[in-house]
Amino acid sequence: MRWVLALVVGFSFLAAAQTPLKRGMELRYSGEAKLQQGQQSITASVQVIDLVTEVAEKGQATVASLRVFQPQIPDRPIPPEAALRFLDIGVSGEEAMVPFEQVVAESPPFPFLANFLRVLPVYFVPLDRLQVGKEWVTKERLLLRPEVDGEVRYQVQGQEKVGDTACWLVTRSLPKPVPVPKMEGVQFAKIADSLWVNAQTGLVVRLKREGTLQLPQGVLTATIQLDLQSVNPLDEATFAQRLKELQAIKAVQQKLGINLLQNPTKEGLDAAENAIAEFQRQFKDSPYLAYLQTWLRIVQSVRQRLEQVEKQGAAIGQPAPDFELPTVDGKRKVKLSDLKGKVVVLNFFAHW
Amino acid sequence: MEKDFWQAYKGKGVVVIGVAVWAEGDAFQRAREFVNKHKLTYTVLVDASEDGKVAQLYGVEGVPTNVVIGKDGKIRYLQAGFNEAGLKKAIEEALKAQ
Repeated sequence: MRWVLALVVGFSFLAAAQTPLKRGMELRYSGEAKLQQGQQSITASVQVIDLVTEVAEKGQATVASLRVFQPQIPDRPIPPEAALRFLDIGVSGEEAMVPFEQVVAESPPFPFLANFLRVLPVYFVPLDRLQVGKEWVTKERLLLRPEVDGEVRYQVQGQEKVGDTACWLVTRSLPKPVPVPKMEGVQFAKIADSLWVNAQTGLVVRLKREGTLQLPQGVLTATIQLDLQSVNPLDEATFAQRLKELQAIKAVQQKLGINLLQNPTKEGLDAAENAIAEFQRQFKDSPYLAYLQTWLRIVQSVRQRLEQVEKQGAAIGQPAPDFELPTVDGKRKVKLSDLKGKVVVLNFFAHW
Repeated sequence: MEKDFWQAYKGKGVVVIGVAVWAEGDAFQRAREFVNKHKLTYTVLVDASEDGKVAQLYGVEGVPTNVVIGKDGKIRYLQAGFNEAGLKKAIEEALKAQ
């Protein structure tokens, strides 16, 4: 099933000029995500670099964001089928939604993990809403493709510190499950977000999510925690440089494309690898290098798989190369060609 | 390997051969430990070359990799990882083929 559960975007507050976000501001979050389905689970460390490219009236903002996933899958290469969708999404705001155009460049270890991760919709909460017991409901776009809009309820729970920072704890949840149309048996069963909002600025400094998606084959649970690491107002030159880098990354994305990873060709992989290398050459100091590195790893893993399949496919039907090796006790030697007429199973193994 | 393949097929004209590759240190000693530990009764050969010459011949890049060679001496199946059903099917087909 190839489909894109795209992001949940937009903080849908009509917050009059209260946004702590400013054009040219860079926000970095980092944390960990865990995805579980049945017995299987995977964790990934996550870095998010968000760049505020535009702040419009009423506190609306356009954010270009890069999410860097560093999957921790011990002893397993990144499975290509899990590897990739590169999305380039421009979202226009609707109604209460914030116009949110982003260069979503993702390299998820698992598509669903990414889908849950992209759900970092809320960057700030207007200060006048931060009162105990305050509650509001907004209509937000939960998914882009297919389009899913659902009601989201915010509730201010009370004050709580994060480190030394005085914060308000705000929860974000779905009043009722939201079905995903055209996908039978799939629905957003639950989103339980906790947002710790800096009491002075309104910025979200910590986001914790537990989401469950009901799939035909079972329930998928994702837990994510992201902490705001830094907020840097960039100077004009740096800001311009970052925009240039994001454009370059978009160009790299186009080279990579989903088709390449699903139906890899040597030429396509070469082009992708060259594009990544070119970016690395051109933008040596870019904070997005780690992100490109993840892509490179995926491209290389796809290539390795492709080469292996080609090589092994080519071997089928060919005469088995002959060899002679000593037995484990060293007492005799076995020559493969002496076994002709029998079906031989070779089991290559290593024992360290 | 031992139970589901060697014991199951040895009476049917199938030879199972383990090929130990990429050992560190004393290749024979390491392979012996493995054989004893798992009580293997099928033939185990040792490729003591550092780069695994025989593995290279077959394009093996990871272990385990299983290869099925037909009665005619041609490769019928070659797959990395352990795919029990696929390996069984390949063996059955190889037995049926002339």
